Amino acid sequence: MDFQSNATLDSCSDESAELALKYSRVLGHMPQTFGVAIRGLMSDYANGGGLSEGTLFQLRRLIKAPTLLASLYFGSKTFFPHLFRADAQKTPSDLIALYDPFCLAAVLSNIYLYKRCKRVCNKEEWRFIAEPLQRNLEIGVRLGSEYKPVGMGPGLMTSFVFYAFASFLAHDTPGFVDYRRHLKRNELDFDPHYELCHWGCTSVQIASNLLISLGFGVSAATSYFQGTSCDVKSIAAIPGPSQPFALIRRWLSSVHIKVGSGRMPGNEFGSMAAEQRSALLQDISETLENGSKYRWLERTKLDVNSLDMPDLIIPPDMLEDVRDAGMEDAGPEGEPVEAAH
Amino acid sequence: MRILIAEDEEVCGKLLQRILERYGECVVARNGQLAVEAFQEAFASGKRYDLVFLDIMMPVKNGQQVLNEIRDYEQENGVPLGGATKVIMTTALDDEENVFEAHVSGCCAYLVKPIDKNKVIQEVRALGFSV
Repeated sequence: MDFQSNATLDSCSDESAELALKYSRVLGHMPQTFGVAIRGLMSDYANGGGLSEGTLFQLRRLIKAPTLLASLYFGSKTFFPHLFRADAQKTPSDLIALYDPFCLAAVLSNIYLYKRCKRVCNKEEWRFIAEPLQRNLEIGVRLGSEYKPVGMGPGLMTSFVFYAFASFLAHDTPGFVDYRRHLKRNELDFDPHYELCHWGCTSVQIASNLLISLGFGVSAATSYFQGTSCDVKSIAAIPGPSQPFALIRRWLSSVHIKVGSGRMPGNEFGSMAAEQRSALLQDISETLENGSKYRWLERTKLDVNSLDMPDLIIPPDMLEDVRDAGMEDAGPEGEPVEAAH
Repeated sequence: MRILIAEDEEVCGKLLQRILERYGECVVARNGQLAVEAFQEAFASGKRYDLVFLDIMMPVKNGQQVLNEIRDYEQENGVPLGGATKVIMTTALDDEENVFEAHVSGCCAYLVKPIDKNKVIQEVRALGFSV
């Protein structure tokens, strides 16, 4: 594969688009089963209704994979904590029903891409992506959920720029190390000019390609691209569907800069009641300080058990499979070890 | 095109070989360990396989372990991720965890048994091979 860096490229050129496509392919082929499910979810979303029978069939097949079910369960517990009580039993299908089709597509994509990126990246460097990715995603969801016109979907997609970082890291480890140091030094979440100079394309371009290859469609990817790459001053000038992505980015930057340094954001969140704003900022501060509460994207099949998931009705055949796998993966002392990635 | 078929079931192995041999040189490995060895020997001798068919349920080492070893070996030997050997997993229908894990580990596609000639050719074409 021919990669090149070219400081003269701009993100609208054909050459830059071609490079972005190559970087997105560094992460490999997207699973067919995911593609079918996500295309189904996006079609259901466009139709404005609930999940169609065909989409449900695909989703039920997907969550027969215990690793996927484990991440979906702990992700749902992260985003809807008030719905999880030991005495309120749930089935795997109930977890699906918690989300609208767009958000479910974003959750499933995160589960796959996170695990794929973890597998292909240098382990030492991956943690510099994984930690902020999980924090941003959870804060993004919290912010989006609080403000209905934005919703949790764009929050769930704040992680896609980090998956693009993973493709830079997988292709050019020393280059990525320099980049993350540059971001830290300059208190930036990403720097498209730096990315263009060093890799010929931007992380937002790569992330948009990932969305297309996962099955989100060109229209969703374009909204994401326009919103995430737009200048914060130009939010009002971009098309309506792109605005939630721009708002989430603006809020996240504000949260990182202000809450991270002990200050309170001002009017960034619109006309929010003082009590609501205070609860939101409290949650955000906790996530910034402690990271992801349930580390949902790190979950594996070994987490599928009645002790860790007391309120989930786990299909008995899945429990048997997981028990068998646990025995296979057990270390010398019989302790389960994390499955090899 | 050079093709490695890792398949412990004789009938399946022969069927895949018969379908694919007109498109390139096929080598069949009867268990996972032999598949890893065949892959590494071919790589070291400069005759890399272009395509690997990997059964998930195999003795000695299963398809998942073989795939991980192939990807680790490629990484250690400086193969860029976009240039890695294409791997198609073959599996039984009710095998969602293995299919998910295989994709996370970098398989390109999977085929559900029983092996069907048209589906095999379709998947190989989808990976960019002219068959």
